[in-house]
Amino acid sequence: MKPILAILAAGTALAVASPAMAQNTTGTVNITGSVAPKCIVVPGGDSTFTRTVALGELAGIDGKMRTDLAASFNAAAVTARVVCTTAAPTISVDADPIAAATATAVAGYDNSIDFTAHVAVTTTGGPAGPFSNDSAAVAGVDTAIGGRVANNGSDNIAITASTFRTNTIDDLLAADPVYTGKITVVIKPGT
Amino acid sequence: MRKLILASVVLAAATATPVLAQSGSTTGTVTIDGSVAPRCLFTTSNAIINAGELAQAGTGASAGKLDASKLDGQTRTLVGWCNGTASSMSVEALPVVNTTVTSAPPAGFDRVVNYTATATANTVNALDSSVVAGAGSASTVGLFTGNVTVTLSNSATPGAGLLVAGAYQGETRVTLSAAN
Repeated sequence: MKPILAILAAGTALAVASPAMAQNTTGTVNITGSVAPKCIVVPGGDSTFTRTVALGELAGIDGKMRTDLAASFNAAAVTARVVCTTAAPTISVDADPIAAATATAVAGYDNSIDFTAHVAVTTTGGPAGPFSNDSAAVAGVDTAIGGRVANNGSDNIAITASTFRTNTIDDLLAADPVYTGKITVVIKPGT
Repeated sequence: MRKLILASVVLAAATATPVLAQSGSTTGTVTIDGSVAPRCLFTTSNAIINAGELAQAGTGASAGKLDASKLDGQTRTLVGWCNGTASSMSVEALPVVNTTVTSAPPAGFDRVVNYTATATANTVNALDSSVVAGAGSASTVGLFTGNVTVTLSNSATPGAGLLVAGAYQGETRVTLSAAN
């Protein structure tokens, strides 16, 4: 009896050991990537957008600045679509006066027109701004927009202008075939 | 050595990441174009000189002849502006003529008074004599706003004769021409 008992004991031991030798193996492929913080113009993915508003003759029949320049500018409905990958993008606005290319100012005359530029932004949380800068002031600084810019397929940047003016209300405008001003809008990803 | 090279690559990638973030901004530019055409405008465009009796009174040798003091030195002020740097001004003096008697006067009589008109704007003069038809030479007044003074001088009749009775009327025209 003793040998049988010994064999059985050994057989039992072998049966228990078999599943441990056929164990599975697991392979893992790690996929990594990143999204850089950036703001781009869509469609196209450009880093810039450019618009032109042609106001035409700036003087009214009395030789002074036309009083409907703001209406004319805003009728142009200047918009753009910019998207950012970040949650807290910033914006800065810089307005430069509409200045004569060559004409100089003398007493009673002006050769430039100041104005205030406004940039309204649509975010995922709703309207933000307007962010403004007057052409007589220094350039605006980077300011938090206050949320992610909207990505809803529509333009989310709207640029308007107001308070067009000469140095004094009675100033006549010096003749010049070229008067040019500029509004610069910089949108950064933020931190 | 290979490990050292790999380490260098990793360092380069880590350095590049902030650069990407900085270049991620977008810039929009709205250019505003316009122009101002050269123009001139009189905001006060007319004035009247009522010279009254043109003939000298009294009984002397000059009685009945032109009293030059009635016209000479007369000054009126118009107001206007030009916004172009090459704007100019010209004057045309039209003689003071008898509008009641329009036929040629007999010998010894005159029905026309000539004079010189001088316009001054922006310290620039332009003048014309009514003896010569048409406007005088234009003078560049440039960019100005304000008074345009008109002064009469050198009044005289063609024959230094007696003035034919009647109503007399003349005109001085000042033209501002815009240019840039």
